[in-house]
Amino acid sequence: MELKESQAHTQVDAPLVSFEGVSKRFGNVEALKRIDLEVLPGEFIAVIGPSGCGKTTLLRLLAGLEEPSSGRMTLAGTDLATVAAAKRRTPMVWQNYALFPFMTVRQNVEFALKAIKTPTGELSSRVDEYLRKLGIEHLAENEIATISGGQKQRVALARALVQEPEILLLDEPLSALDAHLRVRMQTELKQMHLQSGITFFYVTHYQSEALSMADRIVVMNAGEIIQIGAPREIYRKPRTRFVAEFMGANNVMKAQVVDKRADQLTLSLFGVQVSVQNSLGSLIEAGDIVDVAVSADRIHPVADRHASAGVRLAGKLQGTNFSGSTITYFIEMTDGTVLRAELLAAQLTEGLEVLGSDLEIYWDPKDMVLLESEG
Amino acid sequence: MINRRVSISTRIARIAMLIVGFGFLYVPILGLVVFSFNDSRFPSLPWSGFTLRWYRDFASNPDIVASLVNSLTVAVQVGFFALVLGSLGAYLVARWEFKAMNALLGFWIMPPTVPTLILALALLMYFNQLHITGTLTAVILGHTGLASAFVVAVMRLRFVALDPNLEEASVNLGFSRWATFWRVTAPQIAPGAAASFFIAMAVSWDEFVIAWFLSGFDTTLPVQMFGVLSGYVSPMINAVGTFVFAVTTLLVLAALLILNRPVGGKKPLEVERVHADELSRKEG
Repeated sequence: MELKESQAHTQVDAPLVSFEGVSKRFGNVEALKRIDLEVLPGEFIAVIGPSGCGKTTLLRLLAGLEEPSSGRMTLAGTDLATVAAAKRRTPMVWQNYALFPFMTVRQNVEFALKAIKTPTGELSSRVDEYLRKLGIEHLAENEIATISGGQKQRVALARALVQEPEILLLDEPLSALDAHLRVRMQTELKQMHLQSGITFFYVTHYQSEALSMADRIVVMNAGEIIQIGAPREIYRKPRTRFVAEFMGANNVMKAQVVDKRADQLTLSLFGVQVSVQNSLGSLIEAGDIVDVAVSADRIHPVADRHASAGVRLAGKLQGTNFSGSTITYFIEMTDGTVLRAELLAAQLTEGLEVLGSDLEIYWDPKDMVLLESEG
Repeated sequence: MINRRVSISTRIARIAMLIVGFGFLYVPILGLVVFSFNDSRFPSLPWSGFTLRWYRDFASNPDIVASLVNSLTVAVQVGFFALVLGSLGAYLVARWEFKAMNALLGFWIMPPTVPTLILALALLMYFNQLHITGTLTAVILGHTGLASAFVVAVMRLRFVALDPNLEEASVNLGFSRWATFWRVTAPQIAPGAAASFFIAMAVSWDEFVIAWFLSGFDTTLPVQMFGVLSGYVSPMINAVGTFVFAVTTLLVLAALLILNRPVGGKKPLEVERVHADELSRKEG
């Protein structure tokens, strides 16, 4: 896809989209609370959060389908306050596809070109081009009611992409598909993004979609952005308990700060003293109770590895869950807390799986993440 | 199609019920139709031969023909006004989320259940204040209220079935609200609107009580028929009755055909099946 002139001249660090203190109220409900966010040109950004967190409202504000209660939004440097929804050129892919049921596949895609006043002579060649790109040219004359969910998804994408926009808005586009097809479409979407150079603004509540496709993830909860970062960063360094629990297979435990010295903290965790780097600085003082996260795949049974360093804790094997390549151990700690350890089945020593048996576990203190308190 | 096997006795019972039901409804009307072609002054058996003379009488009676033309013009206008009024009401009921909406809907579709005599009397007193009684305008207004109830009932379902995302998708792609209405909304509600128009016409076409109260010398066909009946009874009335019945049937049939029209060249059930097949084949 050729670069738009405006895109070619935009400086690399100038954002394509910016939200500046954007709020949205529906009656008494504050759906969005002073959102600040910048999206770079060509970026694949995933906005993730539980239902009702405001992620879809953010998308609808950008498309002009809702008006912000306060704040400012810009698209390619233009203040959107004065630009009507129909003039924004922010095509959207809808969760239920929103294809026109009384039109054929071809007419649906053509509709998008007519909407932006494409010269009649170019219509059919451009529709053909995008039907081909999405592998649905054989369905051109089909009625929408006669094609499958996966095919509808492709028509919806063709209808949006045929406008060759700078930004594509996607509202949980894969949610209506079955799991197997969803994974396949993830790969295709990622490829489409790389090939087209179009900015993807992707709203989802599936962690796996955000982690596998996005350049940056925006985690939202209750109308606020909780954390923004690259997928690995979000997964490995969650900022709060919410992110730790929502984004990964994290164990969140309570620990007491016994001592604070320079940039080192001594924590008491299940009665064991653990020394960690203080990543929270002055947010934390001696005597505080702090949430600590350790990812399930970073916890190992001691017998399984011969590392002696690290945090060593005693527990009881309470249950296991075999899922092919991995086995999850549920380990009950001295105070009754149950931790999850995800182990690669191939690396597991035999004879460990006796339920109720004592099990010593360990993890590297570097894999412990101190969480900021919420609110 | 239901493929369950049924015993002979069940089948006979079903057919018998069908005959009894339809017989109860249509035998009297069938009698009217038959006698409209009977070459005898008296509507009684035995059959005295086939004739079209009652229809010729009907066509050459200037009063009857004038009232027929009145009925048609009234019905067309009622169809139009009831469609506009009823569609607006249906749109409100379908889109406006408001707790008392169901109660309001109930009131809107109530007029057909109020005894027509009472409705007609109320309209007569009201229109008297406006000095429009005794005109076809009054009849049109009276019928519009009655017929709009049927329009609301049909159109509400159409509006509820509309996916609001489709209109938003059209605006999102770049069409104005107005263009969106014509390109996206109108094609989806057009069949319902056409059917509603015919139903409203049918309601007006054979309505008698309101028309009798509100019309003056210039009257509609059912009122004219009543006038004929109270004087000298000619079998011509059977011919007029058959004609009225035929027109009503045509209007209602047209409405039913439109409402049950298959979507995208396929009946709804077929679409479901094709869709399921495709799903299991292409993604399974």
